[in-house]
Amino acid sequence: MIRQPTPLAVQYGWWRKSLSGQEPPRHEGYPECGWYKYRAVKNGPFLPVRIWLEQEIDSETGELCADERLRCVCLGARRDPEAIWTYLRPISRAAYDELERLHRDIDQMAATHAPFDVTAITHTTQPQLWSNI
Amino acid sequence: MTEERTATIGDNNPPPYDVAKLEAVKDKARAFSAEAAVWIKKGEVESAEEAEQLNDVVAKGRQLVKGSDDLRKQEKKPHADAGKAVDDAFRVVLDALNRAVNDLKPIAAKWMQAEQAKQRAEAERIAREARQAEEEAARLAAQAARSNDAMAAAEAEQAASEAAAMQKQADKASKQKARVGSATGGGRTMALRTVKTANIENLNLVFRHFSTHPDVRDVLQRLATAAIRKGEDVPGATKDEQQVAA
Repeated sequence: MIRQPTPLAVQYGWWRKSLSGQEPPRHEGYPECGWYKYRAVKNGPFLPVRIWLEQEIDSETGELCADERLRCVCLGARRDPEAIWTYLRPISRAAYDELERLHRDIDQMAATHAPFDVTAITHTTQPQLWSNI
Repeated sequence: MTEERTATIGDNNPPPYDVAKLEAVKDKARAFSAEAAVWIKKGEVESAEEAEQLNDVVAKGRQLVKGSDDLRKQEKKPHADAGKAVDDAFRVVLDALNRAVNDLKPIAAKWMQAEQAKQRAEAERIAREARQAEEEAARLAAQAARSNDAMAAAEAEQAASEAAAMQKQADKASKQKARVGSATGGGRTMALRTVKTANIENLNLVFRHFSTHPDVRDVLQRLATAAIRKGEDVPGATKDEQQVAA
């Protein structure tokens, strides 16, 4: 077993390259850590997805106590990262936070598996209200 | 047994006009068509009496045309009125919405123009750096060739491949366009669209360019006909008079 934990620069390398517009190759079945969005259905609302590497590190030796495991969460629910990996679009952390906030504040976005109708948003569309809800 | 007709498919979705009235005018039209066919087959009038008879046939035809057209207007009127009422009722809403959308679009356009300017500046910077890297790689390659140094040659090669990668990046950056995506996923992505329109500076030159275009000819034909009917002279056009039965 490899005992050295994967450094953060390696974990998030693919995501960082993508965000900077470099288009690194994407391989099916090999998800990369980062912050993403995707749609569950055509014209559905964007769903925020976070993938990270779970590492159990021995505080004394700095080595791994168990295998590293890739974790994935979408709106608070655990997901299989490999299953949705090819649908994910990398976004910045700020965009991820904003998308999560929209999901908290716009009830209609809870229907994740239906086309999203922007006219159904009951919030007032005042820009300051959108950013301060 | 009653005399009532049995209901059939389509009875609940009748045509939007009175079928009986239409059938009546159709019958008249059919009869007139047969009558006219006799005259058309004959092709000419041989006596004053025949000419007068033909006049009556033409008059009958005109009256039938007028009657049928009046009926068409009468049948169409409730639908046309209803359509107009719907248009009127929705106009205020549509106008307000369209106006609001048209007021919003320039705000997004302004943002995208600023973004595009930033992207262009960035693309130019990358292109400049790529050019510099290329020149540097060429310089290194020349130096390596002069000195026959294997290490220098390897470094020059690496510099060349890096310069090529930078050039690729520069090409990509130059093609990038400003876009505004949807926050929720419900809207479509907005982008800047280039709208091209001609600004005519010299009308005569433009006219000469399009002088053989059929649309230009149609416009001139209409203007010249109107002028000649008014009694004006149009240079390059002659008056053509034809006698037709009125």
